[in-house]
Amino acid sequence: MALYFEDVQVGTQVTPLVKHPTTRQLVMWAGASRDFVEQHYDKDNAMDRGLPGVIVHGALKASWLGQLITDWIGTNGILKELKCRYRGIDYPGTEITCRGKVIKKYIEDGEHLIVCEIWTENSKGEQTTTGSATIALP
Amino acid sequence: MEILKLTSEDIAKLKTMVGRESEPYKVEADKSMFWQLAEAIGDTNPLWQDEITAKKTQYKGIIAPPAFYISFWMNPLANGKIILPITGRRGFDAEHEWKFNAPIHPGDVITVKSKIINVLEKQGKKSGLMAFCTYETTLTNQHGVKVAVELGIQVML
Repeated sequence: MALYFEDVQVGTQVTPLVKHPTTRQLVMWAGASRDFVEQHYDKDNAMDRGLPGVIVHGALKASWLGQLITDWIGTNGILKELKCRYRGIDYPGTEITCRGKVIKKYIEDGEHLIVCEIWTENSKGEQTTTGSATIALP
Repeated sequence: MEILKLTSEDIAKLKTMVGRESEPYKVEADKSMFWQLAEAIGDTNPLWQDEITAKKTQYKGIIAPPAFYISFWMNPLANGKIILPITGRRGFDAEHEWKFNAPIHPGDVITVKSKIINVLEKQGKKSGLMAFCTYETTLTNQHGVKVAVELGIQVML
């Protein structure tokens, strides 16, 4: 599967990516990414901080937004830039949907570029991470 | 563990860090880092883990997933390589921005260098005094190519 510059227009939707994080997954992310901040796997610690339970790492959500784009563009496109702003907390046991939409399409220095607005959404439809991605396409 | 509130003295201390480069450190990228990150996020893209398929692409082999740049391997402020002059305060990441200039391949030795470029004091309605610390991290490979630049904002409160 390959995505080409001519295939996308401003307004084109990125194929959504749905995630169902578990505490087990948070532990896997903690180990693989070297993030051992306790609030992501130790419920007592999270509750001491006033949280109802362990929370999903912002960096994990950022990585899912990266995956949203790399899944969509295939191996011919190049992810040039990724921006994320962490706005809300997500919990394991909930559904998180990563979405995106093309907001700009242009050619610069011979490169065919698009910019997508990207975000993660909880089951209430609230955007918990927002950002953008700049992509070069063949 | 007692959590202390950020004071204006703390902010003054943080401001002394502005412009100072962190001690660079090296990370040798290897395939197992890539597939463990991919497994953790649930990402089966062959570019991060399947040498045979990845060889047939423009990259001519496995490359690091975005998660590698996002991870604490590459974040000296988060992984403790930069030691802030204050302790016991809560902090969280507010935003991140990565510019990917060139791929990272297994075996590449990445030099990670960081500096705090700005400390902004803000008064939160509920959270009280906060410091917004903006930092820039550069990743340079063994050939001297700047493979990525990250800009981040960490909030201390």
